[in-house]
Parts: sequence; C-alpha cells; structure tokens
Amino acid sequence: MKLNTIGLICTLILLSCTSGKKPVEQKTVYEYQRSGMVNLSRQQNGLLSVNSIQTAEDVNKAVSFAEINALENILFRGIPGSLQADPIISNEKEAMTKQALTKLIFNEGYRIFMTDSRLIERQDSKNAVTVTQEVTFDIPALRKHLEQNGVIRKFGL
Amino acid sequence: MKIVKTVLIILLLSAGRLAAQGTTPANTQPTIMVIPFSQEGTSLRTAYEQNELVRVAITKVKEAFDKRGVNTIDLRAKIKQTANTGALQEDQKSDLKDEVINNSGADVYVEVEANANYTNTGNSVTLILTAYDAFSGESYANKVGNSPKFYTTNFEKLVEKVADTEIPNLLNTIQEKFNDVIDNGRTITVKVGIHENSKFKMETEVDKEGNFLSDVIEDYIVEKSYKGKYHIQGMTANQLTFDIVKVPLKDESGNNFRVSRFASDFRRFLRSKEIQCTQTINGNSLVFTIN
Repeated sequence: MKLNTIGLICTLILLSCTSGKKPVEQKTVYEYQRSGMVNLSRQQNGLLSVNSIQTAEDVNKAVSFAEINALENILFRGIPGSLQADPIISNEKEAMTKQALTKLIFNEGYRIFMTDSRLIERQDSKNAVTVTQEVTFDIPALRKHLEQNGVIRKFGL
Repeated sequence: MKIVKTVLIILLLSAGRLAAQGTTPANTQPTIMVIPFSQEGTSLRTAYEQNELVRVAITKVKEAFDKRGVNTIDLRAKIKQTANTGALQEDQKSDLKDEVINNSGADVYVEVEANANYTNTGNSVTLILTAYDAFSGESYANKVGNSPKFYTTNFEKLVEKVADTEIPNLLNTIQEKFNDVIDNGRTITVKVGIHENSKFKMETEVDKEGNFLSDVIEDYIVEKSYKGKYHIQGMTANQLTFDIVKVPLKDESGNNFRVSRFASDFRRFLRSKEIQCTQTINGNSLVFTIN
C-alpha cells in the first residue's frame, strides 16, 4: 500500500516535470495588398517619383511590395498634385483581363519603366519590416507600353 | 492531307491575328488647334503675339500633343490663311475667333491663358487651359494650375514648370472624354418645328394607329439614337426639341458617321408618312421645319 502510494506520487512528480514545450512562434507570411500610402515625392520631364510604404517579413519582399504598390496607385488611382493626377487606367476590372498588364505588375515587367528605386526609411519590428521606398517611373514610356499592348487607348477618338 | 494541315494552320494563324487586332481598339487621330485666350476687343493674333507667356504655354501644349503622337494645327499659319482668304482682317476683333476655328477644320481646340502674379513673397504664374469640342462647343477639359512662388521675373520658366504638371492631366481628361464619346456616341441636337402655314400640329394624328406626330418623331429618335440615348428638352404644339441625341462615331461601314445622313434619313422617314419638311444643318444642330 505504502509502495503504491510512493509510486503514485513519483508518477505525478515525473508527469509534472515533463518539459513544458514553448509554443512554436508562427512566422507571419505577408501577402501583397494595395494600400493608398503612396504620395508624390517629385516630378520632372515625365519622370514621376512617389514614396510608397509597405510591410513584409523581410526587407526585399517589403521593397518589392512597395514598388508594386506605387505602380498600382499610378495606374489605377492617380497621384494627387502630380502630372498623373488621374489614373492611367480608368477601368481596372476590364484592364486586369489583359495578360500584358498582369505581367507588367506581378511578373516584374514594371522594372523596365522604373528608373529608380531607393530605400528612404526602414522600420524593423517583431517579424516584420516596414519600408518607405521612393520609386520613380517613366510615365510616357509606361503609357506607350500600355497603348501598344491594347490595355489603354491611344490618344484620339 | 498535307494541304488540309497547311490550310488549318493558316486559318488558325489568321484567327489569332484577328483576335489580336480586336484587343487593340482602332482610333482616329483628332485634329487639334491650340489658341490663346483673347479678351473681347483683342484679336487672336494680338493675343498671341503680344504675350510671351502665352506663346511659351502654347508651345508647351503643342509639344505635349506631339509627344502623344497627335499633330496640332498651327494657329499662326491658320490666321494667315484666314486673313488671305479675306475672312479675318487684322482690325477685326475676337468674335472672329469662331471663324478661325471653323476654317481650321480642328476637331478640338485648346484655349490657353497665362497670367503673371507679383507678390512680396515671390512671383508665380497661373495657367488656365480649356479644351473644347469644335463640333459642338462642348467643354472637354478644364485645368487651372499655379506655379510655385519664386523670387524671379523669369515667368517663362515658371510657365514651363506649371505646364509640365497640368498639360499631361489635361490630355488625360480629354482622352477620358474621347473614351466616353467612343462608348456613348457624339451628341447632336434635333429641333423639329412646324411652319406657320402647315396643317400639322404636334398632336395631329399621322398614321392609321392614331399616333401623334410627336410620338412618331420620338419613336424614330429612340430607334436611331445610339444605344437609345436621347433627351427631350421641351415640346409645344409647334415644336419638339431634343437637346441630346447620341449618334455613333462610325457608321456600319466603319466610316465617320455623317450628320447629313442622319438628317436625310429623318426627312425621308417623314416623307414616308406623307409629311414634307425642310432641313438645315449647322455643325451638330439639325433643324427641321414641317411644311
């Protein structure tokens, strides 16, 4: 009886001593989401520079997101106070059916028209990096590309 | 078998080409003239020649159109041409602006105004750009821009600065309007009046079904207007006015839609109802008088 009691106590002690596994911290995977955090930086001779803010789990991904965000804002929203105050593409839904446009935005096709991309500010937080990226696009060249691929109409009736 | 294969390949290739053509909307280059804003009592030539700011602004606007692949009509050449034909004399005033525009054959004209502003905190320039449809006089785009203030009297440079920002936006807005015209058609106005000696009134029954003349006319406009878009401004016993009748940009053959054709068709339609009328066409305005 005594032995049984001791055995039970030992078992309880052993069970309570099992190493408490710390819960594995799940790394957040950031998906690209367009935001309106794009503001005019400067403009000259058809070159438009905007500051775009995005967050991702690493700096390279955040920079890439910021570049895409800058482009999408120029294409679909326009940048107030700039030479592209109105969006280049007025009907986003219809335009997104064109392969040339999806390739331009998501397959890094935009890099041909991006004349500069520089990191202005970086903020590191737990498992995330937020960047402010100044991205410059050659607007006339971008427009011409979209015209040639039938995404937007050439100027005229 | 080989021949069948070749034919199939050719057919497939041509189908692909046709599909690709379908994705690129064909469009016509409009003719555009850029003119200075001229106050009453000032001729276009004076407004152009006596204001250097306006000349810089006009050149910048023309340059922007050139970059978009649209040629502009040169104002000075047109003024000279108009003057040569006796339509415009140097001492004639700004009301002859319309004549220059009409004679130019421009589809769109852009009016440019540039003013220098002097202040204690620096000088700036205000640029006002307005684009009109020469056909209807409808305003296509309006932009007002101010340059940043600088302690300078080099106003030409300030005009360039503000023009660089505002002109691309002007062109974008014009293109938006063009897109609307492509999608929804051009606007014409149709006025149908009744001659004082005529036996008809708008409430006269004109067919076996007992339809009024006004109903018959409206039904015709419904059928012939582009996408059925029209608007009646007003109707009296002697007049029916449509201030908006949308017509397509191109006809079935792909040629430019002719307003004169619309007028003739309407006149013939009335004749089929044993109604005689006369027609007058002035730009986008059609006036019919039922006798």
